[in-house]
Amino acid sequence: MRSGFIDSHPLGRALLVLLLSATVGGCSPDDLLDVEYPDFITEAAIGTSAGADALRIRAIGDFAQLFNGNMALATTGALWTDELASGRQQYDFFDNRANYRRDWDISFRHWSNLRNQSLRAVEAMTSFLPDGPDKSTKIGHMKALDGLGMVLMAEHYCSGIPIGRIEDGKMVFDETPLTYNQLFELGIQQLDAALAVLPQSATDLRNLALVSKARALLNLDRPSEAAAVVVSVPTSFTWKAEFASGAVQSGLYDWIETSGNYTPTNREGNGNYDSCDGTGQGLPYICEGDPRIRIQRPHFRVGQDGTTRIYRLLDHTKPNYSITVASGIEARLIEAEANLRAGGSTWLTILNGLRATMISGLGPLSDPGTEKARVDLLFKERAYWMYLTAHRAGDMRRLVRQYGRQASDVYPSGAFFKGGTYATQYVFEPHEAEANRPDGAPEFVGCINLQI
Amino acid sequence: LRFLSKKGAAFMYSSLFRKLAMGVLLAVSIPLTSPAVAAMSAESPAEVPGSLGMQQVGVIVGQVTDASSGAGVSNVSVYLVALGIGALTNEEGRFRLERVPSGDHTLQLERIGYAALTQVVSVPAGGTATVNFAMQMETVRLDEIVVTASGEMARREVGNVIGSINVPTLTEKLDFTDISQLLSGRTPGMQVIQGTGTLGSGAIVRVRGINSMSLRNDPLVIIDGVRYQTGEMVATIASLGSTALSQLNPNEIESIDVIKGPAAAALYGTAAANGVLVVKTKRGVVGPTQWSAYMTGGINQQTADWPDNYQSWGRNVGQTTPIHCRLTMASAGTCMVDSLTTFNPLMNKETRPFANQPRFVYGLQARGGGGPFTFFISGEVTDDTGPYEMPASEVARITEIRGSPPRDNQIHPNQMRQYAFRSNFDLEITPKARTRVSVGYNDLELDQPFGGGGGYFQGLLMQTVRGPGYRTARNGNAVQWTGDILSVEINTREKRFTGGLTTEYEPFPWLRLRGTGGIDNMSGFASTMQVLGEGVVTGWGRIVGQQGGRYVRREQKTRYSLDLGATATWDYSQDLGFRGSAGAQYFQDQMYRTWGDGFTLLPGASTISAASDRTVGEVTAEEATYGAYVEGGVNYLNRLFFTTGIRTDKNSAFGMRQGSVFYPRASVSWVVAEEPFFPFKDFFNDARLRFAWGMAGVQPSSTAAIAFYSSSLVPHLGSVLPGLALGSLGNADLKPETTTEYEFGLDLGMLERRLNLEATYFYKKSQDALVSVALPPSVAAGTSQFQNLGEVKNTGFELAVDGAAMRTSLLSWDIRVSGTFVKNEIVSRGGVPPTMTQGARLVEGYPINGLWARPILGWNDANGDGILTENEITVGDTMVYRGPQQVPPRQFILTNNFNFFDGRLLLLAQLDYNAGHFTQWNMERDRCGATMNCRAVNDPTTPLKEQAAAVAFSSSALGRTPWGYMVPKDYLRLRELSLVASLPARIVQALPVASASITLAGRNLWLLWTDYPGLDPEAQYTVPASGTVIDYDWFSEPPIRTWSLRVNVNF
Repeated sequence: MRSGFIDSHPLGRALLVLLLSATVGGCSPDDLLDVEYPDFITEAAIGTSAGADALRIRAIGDFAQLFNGNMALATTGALWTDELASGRQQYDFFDNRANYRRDWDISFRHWSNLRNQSLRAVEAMTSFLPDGPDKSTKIGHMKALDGLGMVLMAEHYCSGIPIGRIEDGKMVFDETPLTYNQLFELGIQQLDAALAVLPQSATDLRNLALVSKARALLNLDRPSEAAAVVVSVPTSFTWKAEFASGAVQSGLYDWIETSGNYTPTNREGNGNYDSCDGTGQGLPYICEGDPRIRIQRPHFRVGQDGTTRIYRLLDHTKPNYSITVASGIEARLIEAEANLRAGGSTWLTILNGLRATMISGLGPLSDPGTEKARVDLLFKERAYWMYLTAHRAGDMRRLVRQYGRQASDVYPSGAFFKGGTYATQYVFEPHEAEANRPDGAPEFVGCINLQI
Repeated sequence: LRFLSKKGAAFMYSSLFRKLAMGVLLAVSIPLTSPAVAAMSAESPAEVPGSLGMQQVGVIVGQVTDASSGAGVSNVSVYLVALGIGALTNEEGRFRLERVPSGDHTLQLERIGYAALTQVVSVPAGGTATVNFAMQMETVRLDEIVVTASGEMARREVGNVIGSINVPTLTEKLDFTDISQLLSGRTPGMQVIQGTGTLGSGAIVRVRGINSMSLRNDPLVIIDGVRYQTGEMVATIASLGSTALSQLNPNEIESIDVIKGPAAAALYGTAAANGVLVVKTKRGVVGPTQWSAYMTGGINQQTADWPDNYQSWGRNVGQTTPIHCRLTMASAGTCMVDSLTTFNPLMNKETRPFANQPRFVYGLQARGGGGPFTFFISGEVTDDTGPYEMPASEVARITEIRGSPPRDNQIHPNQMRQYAFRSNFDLEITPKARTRVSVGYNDLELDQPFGGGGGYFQGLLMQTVRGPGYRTARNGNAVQWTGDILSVEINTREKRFTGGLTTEYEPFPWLRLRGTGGIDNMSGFASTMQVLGEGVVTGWGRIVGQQGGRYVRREQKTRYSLDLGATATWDYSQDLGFRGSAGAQYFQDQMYRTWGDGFTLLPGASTISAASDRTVGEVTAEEATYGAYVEGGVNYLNRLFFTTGIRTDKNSAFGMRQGSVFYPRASVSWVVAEEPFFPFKDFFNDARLRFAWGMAGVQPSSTAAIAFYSSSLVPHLGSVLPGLALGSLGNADLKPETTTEYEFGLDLGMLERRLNLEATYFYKKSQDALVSVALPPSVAAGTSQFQNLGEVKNTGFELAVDGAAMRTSLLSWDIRVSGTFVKNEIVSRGGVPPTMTQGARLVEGYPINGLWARPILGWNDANGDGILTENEITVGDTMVYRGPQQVPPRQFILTNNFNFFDGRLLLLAQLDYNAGHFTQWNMERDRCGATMNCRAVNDPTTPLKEQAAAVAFSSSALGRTPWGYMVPKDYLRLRELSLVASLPARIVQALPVASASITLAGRNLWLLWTDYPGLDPEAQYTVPASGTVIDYDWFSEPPIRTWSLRVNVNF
């Protein structure tokens, strides 16, 4: 009877359909879509003291990345100048300073990460850490790294550095990019802010902020102010960036020791990269056997191109070697430069003092007699004391900008040792992805100019 | 089988499938318990056989032959419609049905490729009825059963073209080593791109072009109703690429239906925009157990003619130190050439790491059943060795250093052992309810040579093809020994279980319910191992000169499927019928991965626990989808069919502000040849017009919509601490890519169906295409964000022509031409500008990843020295489009089937022609632009065209254009060649076997023609899984050539 009615009558079929529909109706199917994302940490987790501290730790990592992470300033700046040459198979635009592909610019991304991360960390720590010297030290640490990051960027990049951030989940941008001088000034502001908040007990961080501020002032061609800032910094002071295998790994180790891509140089330029007899504009980092640049000779391998001789840097043979970012030596070198610029006579004493007390095996320097030669000597000392610490690019720019040198006399120029010639771009450019801004945001079209 | 399909009527849909599941389960339980239903069942003749005495039953025997050739036709489904008793014919076409109730019965015969037959047979009580059939080949198979989302239907009812592959007839004749070979060239519109020449590297399948710029373009695969995971195998070290599809054993498959686009796949919903492969594995048949055994022995060959490495020796002017003096340097006068040397470590027999290697396959299958129960059981063992072998000189060197020879997996670094099992059971619970259990298990162990982990200047080919052009201390390699490279052991172990349970219940003649639940689980373990003291191989790990290292990865990927549906029919009159279906599905994907690595191992250590430098990681990804559909159809006179339906889906990967999505569809099929007014009945045996329209989607990746912070390790104050940073902005508006397709088609059968044609035009457009928008770095919120901005269009034409070219008593010759034309175009990037880098780009108005570069306009050897320099070459100022890549826009497959001596000897040959696409010949570009060891930069006799390519790529002044290395890769290859000999009947009768055959098969054979200047047009670095992955020739081995001898024996 039942099957007959349903089977034979359309109404019966409709009734069955309705019964089945009623059976399956009525509950929320969205429960079925509840899946787990344990890998991802949401915004809520940041609103704790531990979360704030994790933001701070990441900012420290971002600074290490900017300074000497993968293709970071210590490496790319060294290629750009005379500190390193490329033994890669493919064309190396950093070494040649040609056809500069902005999409390879990793440092700008690292710096943007550092800047935003340090701001987020400061904001979170201000809200969630208990007041006290520890909180002040940590906030001051962030501000000091932020300020130093700006100094590093202004030394390497063109005028036209964009600033952006996330506010309430939206992208926000400053109306106009900064010139490098504006960025130096902004860096000084941040370093002053760090000094204002850092307790006196945070000696190393305070010295880091002081040396970094002086470095910015030196770039702004205010050497006497710079010298005054570092007068209290002891010569023995060092502040190092830390690296570790499996965490932030040393880029110099990766690119020189591990992969044989890059090598220290001798008189790079004019077709040369490692001959002691070369006529290049670069300094003879290898052949002088200077104890400040610990290089194993002869070369320990050839580069990936099969021909370029790769020399081992004994201070970069492990992925976890720390690298000096700022030091009392740099403070004394700033004082020496200020004295030389002022026409003083103590600059040589300062240099020889460092040579006598901070390392063994170096004899005293003598006054070369001419102003140009004195500058050369000072900058050579800076180059040797601070080899592969992301100082050389800024120094070369200052030689052109502040000392009136020709760029072709300062930078490796002429014939490139792998064929062709060096190009004539002297500043880095921000990543081209910066142009991908949402509608309504200030347009970014690139550098304001490419002036040294 | 057809008696399971028939018709249905409207059944109202509800999206809340869980209760539907309960409803179905309740419905299924009724016949098991209800006395009323049991009484009704007792009246059914189908239940009688088991209870009848011998005098009341009889036997039907017979043979099925091809009407044209007279040869026996195997795998014909022979069954008694009313009783549900059936069997498959053996190799000779013979069948036997036992315990058939005496009396008249309707016997039905079906086989893909032949017209169905029906005949009434009288079975004497206690006797045997002998009946023979001659089946007509029928290429336009309008009455064949195909699988759709709403159930099985006759092909004539479906308004789309559905490609069908009858697998058993192919596996015995062609001996496939991989499922991708089975799919290659079988149906128009489906293109298979070969993997590299290493066992374990995967091929990819593309159906009707590339839909997505950002997501995977793999078709959805469904096996016995259960969704099967494709993509990467779970634990493979990714550099070689792999596909989980390769774990499907072709010898277990009965048929594959290819649903080509959204017009047909709409009811499969999200995930179906790239087409659907519906796979049915073999099942049991009622009757005596049929045993089949097969054994394959063969060889794997690497036949590439690898290029020489060159070095032009010279010295600087005025100096004596030997230097590498390249052509351009010599032309400029900066150095003078003294001599030219070449060396080829891949071809020199003392250094060559390739050798022919064996492959063996052993399989045993059984199928049978009695009463309500049938079974199919299969087991197969594969022992395969890839065409690599450590050269004897390296074995000797290593033996001297270590004091013992290298291990076998170092000498033969590419080995694969695979065990495949399948058990399928069918149980008729009542005459109205039956259940099917499908269980597949696969255990794979794979060794692969060190390919460099995807890095630069690493791995076997990098080191050999980049060698310096003379036999160095490292036997012509660049900087690493071949033996050391092959001593890095890469091993993958992967176990896969795929199981499904389907229950079908037909409570009334007009209503059929079905439910399938299933699971596809992959569990894998992979490792890379370099034992302490077994050489130094830079290119993996973190420590230069490391002495020992290990990487391990364990991973589980599981996909759960639940599919419930109902189909009902209502025959309003003899001329007009209605069909309705409704269904609901739920799918969940889970992936859990842990990995760790450790370097600087202790002596004798083989675990990361003993390493001094360790890292670990963990990844979890989950995704869920639920959806439901309704579909209705009208059938007028069994020759005009209209179907329409709609599906809705919701997926956990959609953005939080995105609701459900809807995929409608409609189709019309008109068998016009059966209309009384059709004027060409004498010429056209079949003629059908069809049209379909529909939508389907592809969901974004599981976490693309989520804003999250990510952690990383930071060294600080002597420790390593975790830090947090904003990892992704997410996108709350994220939704699936939706593809809309229109399809028009025509099917024709002519000359008594000896000539058949199937032609289809399709137009499909993917909207809301996900575009990875690069974020401004200054906001520090990750590198990119997926946004639904783009549109991608694919248009094309598919043609299949089958013809019986010759029919004589000595020879029958069948030809099949399969043509595919597809044009891919990015319609819109949603305002996101393309990258300005030369190479593969996503540019509006051009194909996905079309190739762009500044063109080389010409050259002139002005000084006549035979050497081109940069000032003798003219290059355009702006990038221009070079051509498409990834899948060929034009493909023709010509399959010939020669049948001699009534089928006792078969010769099959397949020619594969691909045209219209380009690739980046990056291996040569790298050798000429970086390693500088190619001919074009060393040998002054090199043609100027090759010199121009090399100089232009190396010159900043010429924009470093890769134009000269963007090359066409059209080719014509003899893809398959097979000779099958069946054992003569008189010998079979003398042996304890039912039939036997021997197959000699070759695959990836001769390249008959190509305009590709490199190694092989099918050599590619990686398999392009999504639109974002670019296909190029980058130090990769061409596909393996195989020769196999297979013996098939049926008992």
